Amino acid sequence: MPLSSISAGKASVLLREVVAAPGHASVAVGFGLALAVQTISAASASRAATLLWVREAAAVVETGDAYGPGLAAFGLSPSGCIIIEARTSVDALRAALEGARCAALGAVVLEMRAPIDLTASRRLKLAAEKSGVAIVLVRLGGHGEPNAAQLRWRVQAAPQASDRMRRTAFEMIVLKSPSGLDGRRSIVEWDHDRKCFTQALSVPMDAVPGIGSLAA
Amino acid sequence: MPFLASDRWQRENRRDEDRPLVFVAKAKGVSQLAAVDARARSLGLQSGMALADARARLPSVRAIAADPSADAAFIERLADLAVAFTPSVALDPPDGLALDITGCSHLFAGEATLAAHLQKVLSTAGVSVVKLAVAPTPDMARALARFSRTNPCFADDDERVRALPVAALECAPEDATALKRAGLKTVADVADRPSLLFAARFTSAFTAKLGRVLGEEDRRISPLREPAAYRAEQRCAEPVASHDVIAGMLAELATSVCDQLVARSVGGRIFEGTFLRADGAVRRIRVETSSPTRHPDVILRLHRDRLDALADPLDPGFGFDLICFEAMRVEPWIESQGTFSAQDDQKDEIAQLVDRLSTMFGRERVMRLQPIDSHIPERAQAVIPAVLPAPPHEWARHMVDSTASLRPPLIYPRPHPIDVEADDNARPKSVRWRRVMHRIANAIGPERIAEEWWRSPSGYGTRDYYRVESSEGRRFWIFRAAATAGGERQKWFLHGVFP
Repeated sequence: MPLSSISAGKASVLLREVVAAPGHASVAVGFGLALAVQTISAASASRAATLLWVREAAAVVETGDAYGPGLAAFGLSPSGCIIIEARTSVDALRAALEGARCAALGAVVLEMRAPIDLTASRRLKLAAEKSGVAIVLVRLGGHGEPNAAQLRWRVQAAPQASDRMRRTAFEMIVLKSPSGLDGRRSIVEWDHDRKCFTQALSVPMDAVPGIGSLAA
Repeated sequence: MPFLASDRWQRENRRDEDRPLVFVAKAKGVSQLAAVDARARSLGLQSGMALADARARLPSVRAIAADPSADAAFIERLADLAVAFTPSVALDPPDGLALDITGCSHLFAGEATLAAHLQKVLSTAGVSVVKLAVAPTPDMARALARFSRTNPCFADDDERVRALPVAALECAPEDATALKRAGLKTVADVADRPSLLFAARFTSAFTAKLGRVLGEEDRRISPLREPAAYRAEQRCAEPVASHDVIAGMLAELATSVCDQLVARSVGGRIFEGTFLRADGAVRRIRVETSSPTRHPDVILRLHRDRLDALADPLDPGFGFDLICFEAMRVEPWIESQGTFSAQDDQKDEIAQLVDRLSTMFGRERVMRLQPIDSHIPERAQAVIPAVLPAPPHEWARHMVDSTASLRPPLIYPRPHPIDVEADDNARPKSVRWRRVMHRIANAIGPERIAEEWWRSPSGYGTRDYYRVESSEGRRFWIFRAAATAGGERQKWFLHGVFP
């Protein structure tokens, strides 16, 4: 049961944030990448747009190096991916801002350990609104300090039902959403083939905010 | 520059030493004089003497350890300064510089003024004695600069060089002695005799050197920096310090270089701006693009980004004397007809974004992944700077048929050692990673990966990989090292984490 992407329904949501539950940093990164891939494939089904993945050096130490074969298996074509390892969080923000201004990009993923404050996130949001590039902030820890992100989830790993660990399941809690569904907990699966999230448990899909409403 | 070492020392220590200075280095177990200063030279000391002999002659001498690397750095700095006179500057070891001023002297209204200018620049930089010679070939100039009594010395033919002592041929000491014993004192004495004689007595290298010193044979200098074929420079009558003026000049220079590129139908990949400050500091700013470029706007924007990213911004101080802009590497320009497809535009835009990011953060921080055909997981990809042109490659193999050998999107470059409790079949039951215990609910494997015997060992032997899932849903990619070795104590490593 595929779920349509955000950009199909709510084009205005361009700045989303994923906060890792304690100890689930890699899971949050995976979820953030999946969101970006979903956005790219929904916006332009015909061609592969480029993904800019900005990583703070401190985050790389925590989650490890990007690995092409694994990314390919996850549904993200490594050849359509530019990775930046920024020395500091300021550098990372500058790189992400530069990417947010480039309308030719498919999406920007910003992976940080330091919190992203209101000013920086607002700057990103304004740039994204001008260029139409979707931005996914991934925070490896912390509590989701207030910033300009329109949607925010806390994400952790969920046990997989079956399928020999092929599909990845995420458990997500809404921390902030424009429709006021804060605190709702749901479990989704990432379908790397069709590049969309699917329902994992018998939760009505309209109730999964930010991922989208039920589509045929 | 006969007193290079002492000039360098004086400049570094900023004081005048009233005792004669000698610079000492060990050679064959003996402390020898590597260099002397002007005062020591006038008192009869020469490089090559033993320190003990020098002390015996002049007890007041002050010995300082020679520092060849500092001397080399000093002379390279001087070479940078000489770029103001000609783009082609070479080191002339041990203590000289060779400038190819072919076609440059008219810019200074003749060789004499150029020499005077150079003398002034070098003495400002702290060189006390400069011996200059201008000659048709580099070897003749070298001999004249070192052995002629006139300074500066201008030679149009070999007349002056013929009057020099045979030492100017710089042959081995025993050959010099042999020449002296034969009664040959000047270069002319040697040159007037048939060269076959000398080739037989000494070697053909000797006659070749003789020919070069006499200017019969020419050998070009090999410059420190290959002068770029596409360059534009602006010399300022007065040092300029205003940022606006500098930016304007740079824009003009970039436009001029781009016009040159267009005329030759090439595009530049690496551009470099050189800024010579009035006090002698030289600054080079280099930018690189991922595809050949010849639009001054693009280059100037990269240049600005680079300047913003520098920790120490371009400081004009008392102003720049000379600004020079070069295309260091060019590639053929493929004229493309503007298409109406949006995809091409996007490609260009992304290439420009990559250029900007690489200039801001350094080319090795902006990367692309490249597959490599290897079954050792950490060797299956290469990380290359994104500014480099991407060779065609195929990731498709990893996209299909990866259920059997699934890889995580993130791996640790050095696998983390972990504690694993395994059952009798060596299947993991629990994993302790980063001080947290994970009980394994589900393990898929093993996937056995053997070493590539044709390459250097990876250090882990044959590995058995497992994809394991903890009861809370954490998924790890772990392996047992040296899986075929057996033994009581098994070593386990965590290589990556699945999301």
